[in-house]
Amino acid sequence: MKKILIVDDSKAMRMIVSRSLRQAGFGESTLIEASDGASALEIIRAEQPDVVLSDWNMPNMLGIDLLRAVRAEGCKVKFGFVTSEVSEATKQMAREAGAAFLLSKPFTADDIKTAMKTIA
Amino acid sequence: MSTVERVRIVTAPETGKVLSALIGKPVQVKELPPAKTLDDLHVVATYVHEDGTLAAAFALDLTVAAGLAAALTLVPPGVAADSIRARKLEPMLEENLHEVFNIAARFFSSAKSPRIVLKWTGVPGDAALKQFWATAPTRSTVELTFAPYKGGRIAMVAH
Repeated sequence: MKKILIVDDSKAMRMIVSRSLRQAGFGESTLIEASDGASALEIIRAEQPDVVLSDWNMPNMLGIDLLRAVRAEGCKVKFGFVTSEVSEATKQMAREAGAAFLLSKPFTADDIKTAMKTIA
Repeated sequence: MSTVERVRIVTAPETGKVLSALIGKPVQVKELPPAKTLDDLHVVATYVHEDGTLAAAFALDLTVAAGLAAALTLVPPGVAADSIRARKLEPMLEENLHEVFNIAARFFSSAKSPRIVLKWTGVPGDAALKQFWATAPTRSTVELTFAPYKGGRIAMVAH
């Protein structure tokens, strides 16, 4: 994974995801950040990350709408959600839209490592 | 979804597990008698069903609010102590606390339960909220310890 885009409106959570990725062995990857879905879409177009880790509930554009917009443009970037959403309905919606996984907050470095293995 | 469906609250040990995963530190929990009022609780968050009806509330005393907010991003304990002395969280801790509240939706949610989302955070002065708190049929109050930060008391209610 050369380039990982972390999308979350919470600066604290972006920091936690970055820290967990480093602890999970992704310290060599380039980590880039976006604070909402709309800016993430621009970054995906410009930077073409290998993986997108996105929150679900964000201002301007929800994470699920970001994923749908990305797929609508024909982009096949690997996409996972990191969210406090835990319902089966949410997980199903994520799968149907093309997400590889939905990781529930809070999570450990081992959790993120396991999730990332599914898209390695 | 029925809005009269009872919202569950996680057990005290589960509360500790969620918070421990969140801040990356061991969190000891001790169950306390459920708080019947919001007295002595510094900040509160409300959670709603998808139709907007109030489902649950989560409140923290000042020391645990400052401690959890600081521990979230490894802010030194002294910064949390300064906020406790000033009786007001500094902006960075306020922002971190919002994320704690966001994740605390987990205290009222499971894979099979109705979706509950964070609606509002603030000081516990609103009369409707006090009424909601006083009449909640399900409640839990827990003392948290997570060195080197100062622990304190958290309380949850759900309808």
